[in-house]
Amino acid sequence: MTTTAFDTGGRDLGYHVAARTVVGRCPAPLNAFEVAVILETCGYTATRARALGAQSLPDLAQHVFDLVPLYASSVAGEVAEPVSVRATAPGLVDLARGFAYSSPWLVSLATLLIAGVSFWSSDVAIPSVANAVTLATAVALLVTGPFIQAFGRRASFYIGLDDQGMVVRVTRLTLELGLVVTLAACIVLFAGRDVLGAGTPATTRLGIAAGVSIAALQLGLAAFYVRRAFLAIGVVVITGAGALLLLVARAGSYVDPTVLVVWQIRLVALMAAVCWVMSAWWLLRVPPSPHDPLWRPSLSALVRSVAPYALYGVAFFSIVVLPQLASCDVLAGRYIFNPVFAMTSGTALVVLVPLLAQTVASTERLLVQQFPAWLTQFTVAQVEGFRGELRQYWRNQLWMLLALGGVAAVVVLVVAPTLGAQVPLLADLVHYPGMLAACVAGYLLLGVGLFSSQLLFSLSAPMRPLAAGVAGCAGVVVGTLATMGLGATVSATVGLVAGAAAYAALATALARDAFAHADFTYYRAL
Amino acid sequence: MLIAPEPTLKAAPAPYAGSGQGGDRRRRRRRELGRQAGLWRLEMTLGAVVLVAMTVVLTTWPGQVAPRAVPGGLALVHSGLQIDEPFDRPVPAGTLLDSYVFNGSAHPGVGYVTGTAHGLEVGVRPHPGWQGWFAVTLHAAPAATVWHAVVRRPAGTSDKPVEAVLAVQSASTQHNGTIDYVVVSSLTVRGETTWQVGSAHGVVADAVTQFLWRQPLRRQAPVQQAVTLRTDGRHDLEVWFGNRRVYASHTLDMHDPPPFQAYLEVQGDGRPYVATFTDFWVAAAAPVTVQGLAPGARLALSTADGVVRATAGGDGRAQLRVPAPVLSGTGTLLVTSHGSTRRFAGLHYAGGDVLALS
Repeated sequence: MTTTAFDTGGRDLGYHVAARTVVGRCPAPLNAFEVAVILETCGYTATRARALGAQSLPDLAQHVFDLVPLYASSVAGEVAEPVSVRATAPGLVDLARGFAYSSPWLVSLATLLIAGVSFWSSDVAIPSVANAVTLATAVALLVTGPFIQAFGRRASFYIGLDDQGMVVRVTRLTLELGLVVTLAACIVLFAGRDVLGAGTPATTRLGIAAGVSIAALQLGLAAFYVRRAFLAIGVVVITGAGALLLLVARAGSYVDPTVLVVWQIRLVALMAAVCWVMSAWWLLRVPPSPHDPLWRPSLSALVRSVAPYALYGVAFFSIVVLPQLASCDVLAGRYIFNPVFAMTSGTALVVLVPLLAQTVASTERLLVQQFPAWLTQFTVAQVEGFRGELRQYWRNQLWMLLALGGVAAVVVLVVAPTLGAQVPLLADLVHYPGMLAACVAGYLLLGVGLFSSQLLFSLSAPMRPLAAGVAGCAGVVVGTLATMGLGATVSATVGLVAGAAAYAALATALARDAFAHADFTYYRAL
Repeated sequence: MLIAPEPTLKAAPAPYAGSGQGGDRRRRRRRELGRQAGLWRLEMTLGAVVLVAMTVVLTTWPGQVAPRAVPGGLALVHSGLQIDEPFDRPVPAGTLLDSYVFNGSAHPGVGYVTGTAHGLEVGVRPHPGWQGWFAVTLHAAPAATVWHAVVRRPAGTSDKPVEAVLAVQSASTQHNGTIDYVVVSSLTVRGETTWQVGSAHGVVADAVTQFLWRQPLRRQAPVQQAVTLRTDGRHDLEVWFGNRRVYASHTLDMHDPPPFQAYLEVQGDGRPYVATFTDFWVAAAAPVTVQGLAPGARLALSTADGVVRATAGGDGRAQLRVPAPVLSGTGTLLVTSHGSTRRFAGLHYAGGDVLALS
């Protein structure tokens, strides 16, 4: 072992840690400039560079670059497991994994059809209760979206580095903070409704409990997604669904709707609690690191690194939630649950299931197998080939997505009205075929936008999906306002379609552009 | 939900393995980090417990029965009183909505419900055609239940038909749309009023009512009635006005599946109309049970309808069979045993109550 790096004591220790960090991100940096860029993305600042004994960040980068050969070989061996240079499409296993992402939602939908009650929704016709629970769901989705995206981005990074301290810190700053913010938002919203006379004492408390428990479950499942613990997700949600069905079955032919909603929310809270405990003691527990932890980035650096993802989370869920709120006459200054729009749009949402599966499969295949292989096998001189492969991969996956979406749309448009004629709970699907078709189109477009955004994220290019998300929000607002005169249900439907169309169009155009120059996109993001 | 993907990372191997340099410092640091992570896990676990506890507290639904204080020497082991709404003071609309749902064929705003100091007012403002509005109890009660309310219609007469209604309806209406109910109503037509009892069946709307009993239409019909009603939804229906039983049958063929909800309702043809409901209670159709008595102890409960007596059995229990119209009320309980009498004044009792003597 060489000793040259150790002869100046603690100062060089920091250099070695930084070198290890850099190699973890990029096995073979080309020069000190690239090392400086990577160090910055890892939270190294000029102040920190001086604290380590370097004159500046470029100076630190030069020192670190000199140390890279010490660590590069061992890491390079792990990364360079070759796979086919030719892009291969995701297989059935990849798609099945993608479907697993939707398992909480699918199980929830099944229990709703079987028992008239589910984790996030229920067939409860009491207006004050329905208002409280649906409003709470909207708040929970909107507030937790950014925190979950931020957590997903940073937690996987620090889990990969076996840095338990940073995993704890990131969890506190995202998931725990997200829950606190949701609680505050729910208290302000429902207390405000109570003060304005729009709520009732019991449904105010119920709304706060619903918002917090739904948010807690969303946030609690985040660690499962990051760790890809699909079996565990399945066990948690199927056990919860089983408990809910058992409760309904034991209640006999009639279930008191308030009792049902109360137990629904308590069950969600219990499932969330189980998820949080499992996350703390299992999923977010990383093996004891044999080395010192990496340098901790400042809070501002951490916030900067996740801000685009968090804002994207807000924008995406706004496209989903704003039409729901608009359908409840929010523009008229009141909130009256709209069961027709909720049922129709909720059914149309099913078209997203195969799209989500395809999106997950495509991004996983690209990130875990194709991309590392291409990066190790293409040289700079072969960059055109690399670009061509990526472009081809993007096009093929998009076509596959559109094909799956088309099949799903036909299935929903044919099956839903048939079910509606037989199941009283779904009767609205028979009466509003136009709205169902529009919502199906809206969610298809949303799925296309989501697919493009996720692939852009895989290139570490978050600003483009963010721009698309903002465009989508603008589309929702413009579409809704422009058709206000046609009634809340119509304007909400138009808002959904317009927002999803704007989001899909911009995200797809930006993704197409990014994949045309994927090498630039990726290195610019680094 | 989908999370923004990130390339999978793997930590580089430790650079100092086996070098011995800084080992103690690193071990200390690792112990400290381990301690911090352990505390965080406990924090998450505690947070999860707090979440569940907070949810249980926040979702506890308010009851429709105020806490009942029983005289010293007695303890309320089980309450048979399911609803107890005297409606003798103003109640905010929000509070009412935690116990009732307001709905009807009239538009919201045309139909209204107000909790005043004079009672629960259920009314309709001027409207076209035959429309109505109601307050239906949120919770349902089983078949073995007695329903009571004082129903008051406006004094005076009306040329157009108007109706004040107390109905007991199958709760399954909200699930399958079937409308099965028994009804007591005050109907005013062409300036004359009748009080009547009926049984109705239908789907979604326009249920057909079969009238089982009715008073003759007259100009001087009572403005209010203390209505008490008991039904099993199948064959039995009993109705009292005050303490007088006006209708009873055990051979009906109704097919109204329990549980039931009470509808406090008005209907009218065009003109504004309001019905007022007070002293609304729902109690189990069961005796008041007192336990912990000496065998042979004699009990006497004074009610608004006279004194109800019972004798304790060998198991130390006695059952006071209180008449349905006064199955919820306040009275004085006398317990005589071994030549001494204990007096419990101001006892708020209800059918199905189980009281323990201490």
